[in-house]
Amino acid sequence: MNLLAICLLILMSFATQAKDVNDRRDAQPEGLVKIAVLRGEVEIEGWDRAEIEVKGELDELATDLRFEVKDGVTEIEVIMPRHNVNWADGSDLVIRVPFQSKVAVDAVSTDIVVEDVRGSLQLRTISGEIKMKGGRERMNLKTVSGDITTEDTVGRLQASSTSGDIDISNHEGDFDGESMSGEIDVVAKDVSRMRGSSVSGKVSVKVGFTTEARAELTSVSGKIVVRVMKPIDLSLQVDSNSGDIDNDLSDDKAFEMFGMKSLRSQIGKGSGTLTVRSVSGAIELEEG
Amino acid sequence: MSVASLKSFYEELKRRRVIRVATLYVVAIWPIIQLLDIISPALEIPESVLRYLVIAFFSGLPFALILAWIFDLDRDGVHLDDGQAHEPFLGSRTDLTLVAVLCVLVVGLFLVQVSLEDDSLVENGSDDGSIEQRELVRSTPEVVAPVSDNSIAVKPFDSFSENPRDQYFADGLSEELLNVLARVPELRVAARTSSFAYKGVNRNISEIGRELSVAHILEGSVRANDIDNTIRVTAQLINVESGQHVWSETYTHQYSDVFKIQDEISGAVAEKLKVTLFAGKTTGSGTRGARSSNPEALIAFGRGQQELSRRSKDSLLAAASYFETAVAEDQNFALAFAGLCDAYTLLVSYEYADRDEFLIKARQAVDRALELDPELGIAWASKGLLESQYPDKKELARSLLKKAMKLNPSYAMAVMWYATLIEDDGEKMQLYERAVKLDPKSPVASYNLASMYAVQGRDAEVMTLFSHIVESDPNYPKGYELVAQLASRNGRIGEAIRHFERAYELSEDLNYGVNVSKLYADIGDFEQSDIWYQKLAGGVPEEYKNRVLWFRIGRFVGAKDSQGVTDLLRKIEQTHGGDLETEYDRLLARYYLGDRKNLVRDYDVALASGKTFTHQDEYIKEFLPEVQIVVASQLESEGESARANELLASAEATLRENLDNPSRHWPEDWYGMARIYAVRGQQQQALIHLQRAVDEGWREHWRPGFDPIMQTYESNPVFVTMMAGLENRLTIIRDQFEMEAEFAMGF
Repeated sequence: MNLLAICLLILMSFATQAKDVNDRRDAQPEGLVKIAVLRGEVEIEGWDRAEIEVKGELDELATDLRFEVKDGVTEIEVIMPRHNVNWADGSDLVIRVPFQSKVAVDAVSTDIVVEDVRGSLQLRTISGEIKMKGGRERMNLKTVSGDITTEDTVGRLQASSTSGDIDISNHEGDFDGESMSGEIDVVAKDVSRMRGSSVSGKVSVKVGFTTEARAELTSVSGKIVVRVMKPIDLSLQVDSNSGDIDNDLSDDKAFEMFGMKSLRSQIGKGSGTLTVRSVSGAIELEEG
Repeated sequence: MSVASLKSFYEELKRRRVIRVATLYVVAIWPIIQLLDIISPALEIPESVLRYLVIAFFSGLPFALILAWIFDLDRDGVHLDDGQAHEPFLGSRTDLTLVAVLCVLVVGLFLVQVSLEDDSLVENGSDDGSIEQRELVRSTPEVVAPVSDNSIAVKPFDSFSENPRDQYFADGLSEELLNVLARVPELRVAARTSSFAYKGVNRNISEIGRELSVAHILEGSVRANDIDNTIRVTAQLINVESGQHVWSETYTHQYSDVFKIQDEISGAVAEKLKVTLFAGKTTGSGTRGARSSNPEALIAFGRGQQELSRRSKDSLLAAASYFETAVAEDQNFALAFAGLCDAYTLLVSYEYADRDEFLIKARQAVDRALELDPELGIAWASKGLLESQYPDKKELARSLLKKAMKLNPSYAMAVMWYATLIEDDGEKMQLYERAVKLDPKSPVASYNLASMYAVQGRDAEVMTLFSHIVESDPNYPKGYELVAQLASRNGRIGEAIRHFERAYELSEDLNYGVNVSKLYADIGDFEQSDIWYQKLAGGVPEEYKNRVLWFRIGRFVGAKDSQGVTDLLRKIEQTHGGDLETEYDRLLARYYLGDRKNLVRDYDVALASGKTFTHQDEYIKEFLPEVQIVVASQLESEGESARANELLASAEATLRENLDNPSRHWPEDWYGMARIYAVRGQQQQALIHLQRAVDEGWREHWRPGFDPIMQTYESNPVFVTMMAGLENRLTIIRDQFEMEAEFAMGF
């Protein structure tokens, strides 16, 4: 019996988690959910209930969790001490929200994962990564030193990282992406507005444009590779100060003027405009 | 239920072997759970799977008990219980043997786990081996020192008390130990900021050791007994690589005997690491002055140290206040006097306090520290920092800091402050890197190194250190300044605004606010620009007022408020100062006001006045070319082409030098080049250079409209397209801010 008691005590101590959280609140199906997590990982999943659920573990140094619903706005915040934020394990939360919720996440050293949330999204972290699947409206994703990865999104997608890579696959709709030293890799269709900009990272897009689309891709020293899906109906304006321009979209070749290389070309009726500029990076244009 | 019926129920449980089944069930699953726990990291089994398995195992217990109650297992097999006693399937001897085997298994697995976890006896330490933790280890920057056998970190001792005072006392004790050990020349001791970052943190010893690059960790606990005024201190020295306890001991003494405990612990550590304490000295009065046995003084000192590391105005003022309390409690506490000197000096260094008053107070504090303990390296470093505030005492400061590094080779701040006084970039860089190695969790050490990398254009390294700073202290404002500057120089205005705003929120440093106001004007959000400008009103130092007024002009030009522009230019034109910057500012103001009649003459008068620049290096690189270009433009209009070309050549040489410098990335330099070509009448080259400015990140789209030199291109289709593209980018940034505002307001 003593042995049994010891085993049970030890196991009970294992099972006890002082900072576990498991809470649920009623919420509007299309309400706004604001989430603030200083560090750790937060996973946000859409579900078909008019409820918001928060599960997982809080930061080792968290003092509290604020979980309030008021006037259609839900606020979830891991409260941290302002002056004692030693390096500790961060929060690890899974938050379930109604499918159509609008979600805003404000984080610092936090990885953000979002799946099946169909309202507008604003995800901001500093040194964490952002992964998203299945966004449907306006999506604004920002990180400083982390990567951004999205798949199966429809709508207007904006992604920005300073030193991280941006990898967008299977997107339908407009896209705006910026990175400084990271690479931008986009596969998108039904694009009427596109902008991709990097300083030293490679910009690579495979894109299907709508008619009268406007697209601008720029880089200072990074290579730019554009693969355009058929049908193609574009005016091309391509310039580079010192990088090579390799055009397989039409028969036109780049020419040199005032020490710059330029390409002007019309494919189809030329209804849309594709502007590509680099200072020293090479530019490649081909059919996708 | 009566006692008799309870007894009868218990007898029935025994007869049906329910208790035996329960015991066997728990004893059987325990080793399984332990085994899974041990092998799960290697097999990368997610924690959630383990959690479900534990739940499943325990969910099975009630079913096992119910089955044991209903069925009987004897030598005839399984059948429903008939109320009769049967010969059990396993005899009691077999039963006991099974329990014994399982017990051996439990003990064996427990021991295996102990050896793997390294810190099984730590009161608050266990490693859950999570992927997140491993990621953090991997993300430690590359600046990692090789592990020396004689290296040690003092993990803050735990306090067995809810009273925060006791925790601060434990901190003070730990810090004192750290300082005593740091005096041993043969020992490399991890800095306070780094080792205290693990206070209350659930991380295993091997990870801490790896992150701090130390071979040993000293940790322990303090239990205070206020009734008899005693403290019980348990200390243990752990080898990081093996996880073995090299030594452990428990001491119980009166509060007033805290020195004795420190001496005994440090003596034991020195003996185990085979080094000599205090470079051959005994723990006599020569070192005791550094320390305190006064709990209140120790508590205040610990809090002061914590505040000191952040370097914001509030935290430095708080640090000074805590150190003042510490020295008031114990007037012989040399370390607290040194801390007080640092707080006062840094308040002056960051321009948060009156220079004369605070430097006098700092000197009094450090002199007292050195009077109490002339061998205290930390105090010599404080004195070096203090002397470095005087332009004519840099050499003295260097020699004091060298002395500090000799007395306490582990003190990262001495190395870092010494680095700031070194001219040679290579040596400076090595010293900054050494400071980060000594104190990898110090935000200020990482920030200084990152700033050095930024100057050299090593943006990737800047970003690595930035991530590290944010992970160490998400509230360290200068970390955000690093990224804001980087983003601003690369035309990432939205990002720059966000990070400057965050830095301002954390520090209320006006410089950040000025940048925010300017950048909002650049993107055309005049309302926000005004809000930020109002926040700063009156707080800008006199010598930077004209600079802020020039920033402000962009806001009124952008808003097409010509009267606002004129008023600001008049303000600048009427400023008076004794330096060449002010003269040139006035000259530029007159140029933009259209008052150019005597421009060239005034330029010559300013040059001949003998006045000099206050901020020479900065001005010559950034502003002098602009003055030369506008004067050249005026000379050209007056037919003085030869002299105009001379000035343009000088401006071009400066700008080309800037552009050829790989560490300097200022898109404004390309705009300057465009203007030079415009004055020369080389339109194509002017437009090519303007485009280059845009590509490199120049975003002051309002400037050409304000600039008589570039205004000539306003109807040029290439120029128009270029500006439209730029305006489009700024619209996207404004749009994003609007979206953020919608989220903030709740739609």
